[in-house]
Amino acid sequence: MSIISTGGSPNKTTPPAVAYSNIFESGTVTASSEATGYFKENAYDWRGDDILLFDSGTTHTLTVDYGSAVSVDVFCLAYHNLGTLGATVTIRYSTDNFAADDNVLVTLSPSDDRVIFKPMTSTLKRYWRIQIALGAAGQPYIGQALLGEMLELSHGPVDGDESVYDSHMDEIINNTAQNGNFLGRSVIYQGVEGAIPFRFMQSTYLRGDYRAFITHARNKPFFYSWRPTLYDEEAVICWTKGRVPTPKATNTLYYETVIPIEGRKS
Amino acid sequence: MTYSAEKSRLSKEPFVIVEEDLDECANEYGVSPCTAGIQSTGTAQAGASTTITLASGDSATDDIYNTMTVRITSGTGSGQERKITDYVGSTKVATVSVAWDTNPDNTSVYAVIDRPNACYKQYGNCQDRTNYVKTTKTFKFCTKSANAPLDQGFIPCITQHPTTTPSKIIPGKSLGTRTVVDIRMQDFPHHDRGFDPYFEDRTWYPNADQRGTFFGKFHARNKYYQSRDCRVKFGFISPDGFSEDDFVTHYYVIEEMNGPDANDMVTHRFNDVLKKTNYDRAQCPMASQGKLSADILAAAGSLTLTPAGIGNSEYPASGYVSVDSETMAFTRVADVLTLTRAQYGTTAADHTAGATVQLGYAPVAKNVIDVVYEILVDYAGIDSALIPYADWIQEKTDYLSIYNLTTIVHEPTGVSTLLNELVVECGLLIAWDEQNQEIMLKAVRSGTTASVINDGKIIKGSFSVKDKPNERLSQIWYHYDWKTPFDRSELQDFNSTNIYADAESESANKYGETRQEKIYSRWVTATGIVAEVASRRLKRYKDNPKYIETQIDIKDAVKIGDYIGIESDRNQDESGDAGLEGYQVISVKNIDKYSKQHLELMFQPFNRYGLIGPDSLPDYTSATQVQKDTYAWICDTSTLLMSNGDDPYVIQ
Repeated sequence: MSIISTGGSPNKTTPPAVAYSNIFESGTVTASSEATGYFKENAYDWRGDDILLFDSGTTHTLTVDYGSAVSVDVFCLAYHNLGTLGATVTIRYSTDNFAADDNVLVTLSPSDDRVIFKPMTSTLKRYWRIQIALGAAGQPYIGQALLGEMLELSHGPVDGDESVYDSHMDEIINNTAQNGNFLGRSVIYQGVEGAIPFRFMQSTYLRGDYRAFITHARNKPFFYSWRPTLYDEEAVICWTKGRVPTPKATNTLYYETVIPIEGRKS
Repeated sequence: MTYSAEKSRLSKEPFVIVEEDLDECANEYGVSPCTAGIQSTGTAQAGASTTITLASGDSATDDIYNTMTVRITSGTGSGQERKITDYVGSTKVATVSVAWDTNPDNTSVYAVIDRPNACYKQYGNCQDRTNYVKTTKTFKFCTKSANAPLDQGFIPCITQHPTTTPSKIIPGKSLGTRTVVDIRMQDFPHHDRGFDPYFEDRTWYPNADQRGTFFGKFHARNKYYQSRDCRVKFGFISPDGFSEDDFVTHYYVIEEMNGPDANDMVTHRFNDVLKKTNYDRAQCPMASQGKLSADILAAAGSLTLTPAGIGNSEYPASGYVSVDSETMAFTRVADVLTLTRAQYGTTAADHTAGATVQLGYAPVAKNVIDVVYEILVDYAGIDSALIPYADWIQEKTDYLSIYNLTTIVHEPTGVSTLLNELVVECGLLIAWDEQNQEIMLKAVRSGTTASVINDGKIIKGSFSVKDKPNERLSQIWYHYDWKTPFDRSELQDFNSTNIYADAESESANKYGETRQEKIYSRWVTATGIVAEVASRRLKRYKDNPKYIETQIDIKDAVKIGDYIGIESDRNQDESGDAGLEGYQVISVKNIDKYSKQHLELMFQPFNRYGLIGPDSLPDYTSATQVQKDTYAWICDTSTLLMSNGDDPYVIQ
């Protein structure tokens, strides 16, 4: 996939991005441990209701052998407890399955358990690893991990576009007493909702990047970040809400569409 | 934090967890003692890092064991299992998918197990039922919420708050209605990891999520779910993190599993534990299988049971039996009963061979709490751990000490029928306490007010008051001490009849009419019990019973059977003020995603009883509530109230 850089205003030099292709789904995966009833496959099946829970320990790894060298430039993570555990996460690559060659591409220390969308320098290697290091023995869990290549949106937000990350899809029930007192409130948190705009798509982008993304998004969730290079913990894992709207031509050069989504921040 | 603290937060996130305890076999498929699926056994000829050479007599067919599992059952490498990826019939060499930890050799005894076609560890799909060993596996479901914890093993598929038809108590009249809870859950494709114990061995692995759905498979596998235990845990997701301490647990039994329906939804229905008293098999006494082996005459002093051995299996060492319309006392040795004829007012008669010898349930001077205990535990199959016997003893001491019963239930009778009789005849309240997981038993009496609900707590727009004149009573005709156990439907079937009337309520100045209730008692023989039950019953129902429905915030939650005070502008006294009145909670329903309780309350119009107390009693304001409920103090002669403003004791 290609990364579009259009120059001009700040919106256009750091557009939002999605990440959906995941080398874990195509490679041979091994986990350093799996607690009883928690399987490594749970870490890359796009489901929010199951996790890979490691056994207690201080160092934990999830490794993938892609079979041949593959480019990776983004790391995403959702449904995890690494912030709560104070973990240090390193993304590593190797040419010999970490026997002697073991290189760190990026290090991060999540501040909490929100979704992570971390761009990295594009690197072409066969063996990749997520390593979790804890200060004291603990049981980290991962619900969805992704290593792959991100796709920048064709254009940044324009007037009227909503901030998906700042949305609140809550159900609120207030209780008020006979004499007017506020008695309390129940809030059912149901995540985020909004829309992801694909604007000013030239034909090459539409026919290549957009179509490949939609083939995935029609079937599975994906990651979305509104400012990946600046705010790697302000991302969401999301899924399309209903039918994907058809792109429409805005003039002879460009197409656009806005895809409704709902999802989670943590 | 705790549940009490969490429900008092100004803003809170309700959450529901459902746990179902279903059956699962403790054995592993094809592993001793399970004999299912074993295709071949023998002693290996040799082994290497990724191979095992099976016995020379093993199958000569290439690939016949592919995808099956070879297990080393003894000898070198014992306990290891590997999947066979290739088998050569001519050499007997099976190649395995992953290298052995310890290579097998010619001492290794193996079994080839057809794991792709393994059971799912339930009795319904078991392939070796002789060796099936039942244990329990707990399945956990929870609300679909963005904040649902991920590391608790919950399946987040509950789409709406459980729908509850709450139980309702009818003090002194019946057991009331049972709680029914419906859990609605969304079905979904599922990979079977963690649910199919052999998911990696199936031929369709790893595409189990393309075969059926979670609940489609779940219902097909778990056929035998009825009466299994389940729990619904109501609580809140705390900002401090998830904790089971923030939940209150309600206990039920599974009644039905329905779906998936056309909208991919399933419904699991639960009942409270007292539902077991309604089951057809809950009979007291149980139907006896023993019969007369030969004719007996009216003067006979013994009988012999048939079939042989039935005495030891069904009849105790002594007791009472009924044959035709005669009841007899007996002592037993093997199948021979030594008789004392014509008991309980019946007449000795001849009986013919083949007549059923029905064992009776015959308490003698047994307190009503012990009668209820025996009926629930021995005949309805209720776990005795669900009965707070110490609380029942205290209730007996305080209010039921004279309720000693002597009777015989001579034929199989539904447990729920007998319990309803005891509720009416002894003036009881029997109910299932969902929160404490116990069966409540109380006398119909006054109680200690647990809290006061006023307009500062009543949810706006929820309060309504209703009179039910049809429930009023002015006379109770109590027929007791029956002549024989076989007839109890008319006045002449009883040795005693007492009539209790509230003449004032029948007068022209009040209701001007008679409302009569007749009790034909199976259980009661003592006048003292009759007088007390009738007196309490008339006190509760001599005026039109008043009912209130209202809603309160969950932080002010009450439970069924509680006594509470109501003070509201919607429930006025003669002067138009919001008078404070006592009520008993007869029904509680959690609504609006457990943010509120919907209550049904029944007016509790009791004056207090007062015994003459000992000299050692403290002043009224220093007395305990039990002392105040038991003894009487003199009120202030000018205010006609107690020194703290409480109502006085009134002599009637």
